[in-house]
Amino acid sequence: MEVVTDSASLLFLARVPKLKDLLGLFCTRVWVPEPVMNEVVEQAMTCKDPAVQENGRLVEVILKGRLFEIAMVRELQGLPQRLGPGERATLALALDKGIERVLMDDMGATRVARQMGLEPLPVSALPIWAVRKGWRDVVEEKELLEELVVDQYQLSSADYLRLMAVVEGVTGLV
Amino acid sequence: MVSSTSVISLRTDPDIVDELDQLSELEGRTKADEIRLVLETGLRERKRKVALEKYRNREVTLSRAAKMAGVTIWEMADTVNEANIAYNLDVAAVIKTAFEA
Repeated sequence: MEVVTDSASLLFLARVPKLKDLLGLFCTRVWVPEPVMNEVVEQAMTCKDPAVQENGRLVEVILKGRLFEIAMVRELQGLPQRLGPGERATLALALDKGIERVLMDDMGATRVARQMGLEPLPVSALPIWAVRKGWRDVVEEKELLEELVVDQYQLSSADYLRLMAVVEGVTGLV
Repeated sequence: MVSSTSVISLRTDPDIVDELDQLSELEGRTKADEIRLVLETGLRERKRKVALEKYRNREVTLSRAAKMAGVTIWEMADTVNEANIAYNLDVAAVIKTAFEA
């Protein structure tokens, strides 16, 4: 499966490194639009904050892996203003290349993606997929999912419980 | 030759002017320099607050909020975390994808 990634997904891949390994199980190629690269790596490198620079360097290293490919993309007009440059480029590249799956999980962006006939793939679905396919251990993936939804997403209690209830039903993860 | 600066004029409370006078004296700057500094720092802070509110209200994505605030997406993510705002995760998409597997 080939996917096009947005910026926030790369941010989560950097902050929860095991996600990158999971991505490699499902994807043969992850396309990175140049504006996403700019947003996550180049802007970080020129930031005065050393911690942000380090994040940029980390993603730069990740993107040198064989799974990832950076691509130029032309700007797509008429997209909602609530989207950032990364998401706009992600949708544009997916349409350009005829790739159905987009790695994104922000609700504002996923709704637009669906309207355009694309299928959002949230990074938080990867641990659940891996368990269902029998590729990963339940306990390990539960820890990974918890790290993602609690530390990174800081989900509301309602959303957290909703997600966990479904996960329990689907995989026995909880 | 084109000037690289613009001129603005505004009316304000005399107390504000007094405070600016005191601050510029304390910092050893001209009042104009002090006003420029206050404007720059205030503008930066306002942009960040407006972006954060838009993000909190689900009006913009993280990427768009960062662009609005004039900060990197990493800084915006940290600002959102510090403000205890939950990521606008599409839980329905996660669930749908999970069932597809």
